[in-house]
Amino acid sequence: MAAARLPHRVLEVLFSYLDISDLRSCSLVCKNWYRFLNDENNDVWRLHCVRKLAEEALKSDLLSNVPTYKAKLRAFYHAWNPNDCSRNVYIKSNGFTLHRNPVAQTTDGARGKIGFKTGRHCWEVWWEGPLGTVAMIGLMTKDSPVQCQGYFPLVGGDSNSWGWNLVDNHLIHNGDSQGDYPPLNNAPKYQVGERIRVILDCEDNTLAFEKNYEFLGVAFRGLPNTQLYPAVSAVYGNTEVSMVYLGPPLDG
Amino acid sequence: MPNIKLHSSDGEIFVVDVEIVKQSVTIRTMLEDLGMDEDEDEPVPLSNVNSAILKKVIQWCTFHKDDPPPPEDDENKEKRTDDISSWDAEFLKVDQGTLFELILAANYLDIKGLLDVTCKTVANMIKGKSPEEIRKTFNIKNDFTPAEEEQVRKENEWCEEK
Repeated sequence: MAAARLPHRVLEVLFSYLDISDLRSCSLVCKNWYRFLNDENNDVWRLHCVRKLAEEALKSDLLSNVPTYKAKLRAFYHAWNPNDCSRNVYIKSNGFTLHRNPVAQTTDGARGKIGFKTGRHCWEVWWEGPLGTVAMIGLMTKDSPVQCQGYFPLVGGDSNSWGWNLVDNHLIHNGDSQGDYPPLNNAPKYQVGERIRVILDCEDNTLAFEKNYEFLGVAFRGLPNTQLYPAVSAVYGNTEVSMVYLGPPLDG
Repeated sequence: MPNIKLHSSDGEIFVVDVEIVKQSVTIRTMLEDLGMDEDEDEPVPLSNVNSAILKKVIQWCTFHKDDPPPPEDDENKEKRTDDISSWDAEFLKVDQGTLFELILAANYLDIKGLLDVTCKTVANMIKGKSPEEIRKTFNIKNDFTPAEEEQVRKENEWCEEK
């Protein structure tokens, strides 16, 4: 029937009137429609990107590792959740960077908007300010607290979170150190601004990290089959942490 | 006012006021390229539009001939579909086959206003529906294998989040 065979030029106008949830339905209708929507840089995705993402996010190099409009939109849908973070943290207007206010004696974190239960996922995290004494990067279920008193490895501090402290290179889970990571002598210290890639494999139940495109090894095994969220926790006043969701990890 | 002759794909000739058909960028360009004088007797061939559809297109263009040029789209605003005029809504109360032929004609003739209103109408028929409901509405065959469908569904799961 005519609808299935509409030329792409027409699909571009038609789909420009639909929201993202309807676009998802359309991509499942037939292969012609799917092929059009699979062009992640087409004008339909570009317009949604422009409407939803802050101009500053699109103009800066924040999203330099998510090249297409659709991927940038997806990254925004996975970004820090302004409704699921410590009260001492706010998400900046760029939508991707959290800012920890200079409140004394408190550890503050945030979770991403979307958690994962299946598939393989990769996201970048980097500090844009000092780490302080405890800078945790890892995963939390919805049940872990995003704030606590004192300076504490919050991500990793209970049975529902797993974290890597970038300050002393310790892995923490259930409040206990699980050893050094990466397991090398004289592993280099984290430099502010370096982007760390977090790799979650829900099929293998593992969490691993990569730095400077170098795979550092599996950090945690035996993760539960429950919704797991990207998370960080910070203690330094006015420090900032960015997170950008990349999609499934590229194999190789 | 000068007239021009349009020749439909099935051989009918329509005599129309040239100001009305200038809403079609395609026809406007053809006139310029063919160096046609507005009084020219030679009909403009429209091999992709049959007479039934051409008649409707001319009807739409005649009603809209004095429309002001549409404002530049504000890219930051969501595009609306609830602002179809009652005349256009009535004009588009046609069977689906005709609706899609009008879309293809508006695309071929490059008449922005008509393409926009016909696409808005179809968009309203899509909104809120599941893929299967959309297929039923437009009689589209599902040409995905179950595995392919599952993969696309998973890839785009995030689109359901608010």
